[in-house]
Amino acid sequence: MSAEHKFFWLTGGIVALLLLASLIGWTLGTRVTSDSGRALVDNLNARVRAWWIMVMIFAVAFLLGKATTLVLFAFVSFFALREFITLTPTRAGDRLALFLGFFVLIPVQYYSCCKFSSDEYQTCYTMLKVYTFV
Amino acid sequence: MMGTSRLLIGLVRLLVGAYPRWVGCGPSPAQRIYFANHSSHIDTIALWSALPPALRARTRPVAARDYWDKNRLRRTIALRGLNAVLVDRAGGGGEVDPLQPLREALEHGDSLIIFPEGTRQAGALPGPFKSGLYHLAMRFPEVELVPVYLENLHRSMPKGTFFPVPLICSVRFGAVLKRLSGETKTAFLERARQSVVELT
Repeated sequence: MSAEHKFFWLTGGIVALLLLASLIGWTLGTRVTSDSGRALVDNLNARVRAWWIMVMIFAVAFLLGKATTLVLFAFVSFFALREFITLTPTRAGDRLALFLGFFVLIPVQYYSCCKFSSDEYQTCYTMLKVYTFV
Repeated sequence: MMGTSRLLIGLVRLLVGAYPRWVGCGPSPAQRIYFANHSSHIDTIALWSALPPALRARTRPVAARDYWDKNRLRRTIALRGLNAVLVDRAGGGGEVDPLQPLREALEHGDSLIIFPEGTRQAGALPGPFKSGLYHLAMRFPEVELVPVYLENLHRSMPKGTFFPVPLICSVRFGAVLKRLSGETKTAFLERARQSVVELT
């Protein structure tokens, strides 16, 4: 199966699952009577909607091409690292390394991902991570 | 003013999120004094951007003149970006009351953001409060006093450092502090400080 084929199967599968989830949410919405049940179904539907939005953002980025996709993933990395560092007990001496991790490592990593072949990228990627966080 | 404010809010949201959590009270157009713990230069903008835009337009942060009036960049941020009320922190002269600009802003109907410790603190918990909050609370009994706790900012950009580390900060708004009749200044300030500590 070619890469394009796989991509269409994947996208089709995700959209089908989301359609099913939305349908279930809608059906449950017409049936619940109690207040707590209503709150639960609203919560479920909000989550399903959030998934639709996420999938749409990724779909638009993929359609707009490689550069847009990489920028989107760079931001996702930034926010994910921010989330992770928030939960990690950091010391005052870690600040410089963390700062470089956020503002140098992430841009350089995605830039090299864009510019180099995958072998060169592998080397570069491993080196960056190890040096920054050592 | 709009452009500078938007830019500041955008930057702070990207760095620390500054997500509002209305724990003890909801957003309200009532005139208020928000008082918070102070641990970094991001504090003011973080609290300010956590307010809904309609309230933000009527809420002015209080900032120290000796720091924010020093050069053009700081002045632009403070005055054009945040519409801040600048106060003389040293208060050495004794001729002019340093609280005068705050009273004028309150009389004008604006809400204020103040950091009663007067200076940035190293840790997660606030230090002792200075008396300014007490005097304003007595002078304007109808203004609501709202304690606010800014989480994690002492880790993001502590005193003496020059660059921020992105960390998620939530801005917690507590219940409106009641005035008790006959309470001493010291007791009031300690109770106010405690109301911020309770939000940690």
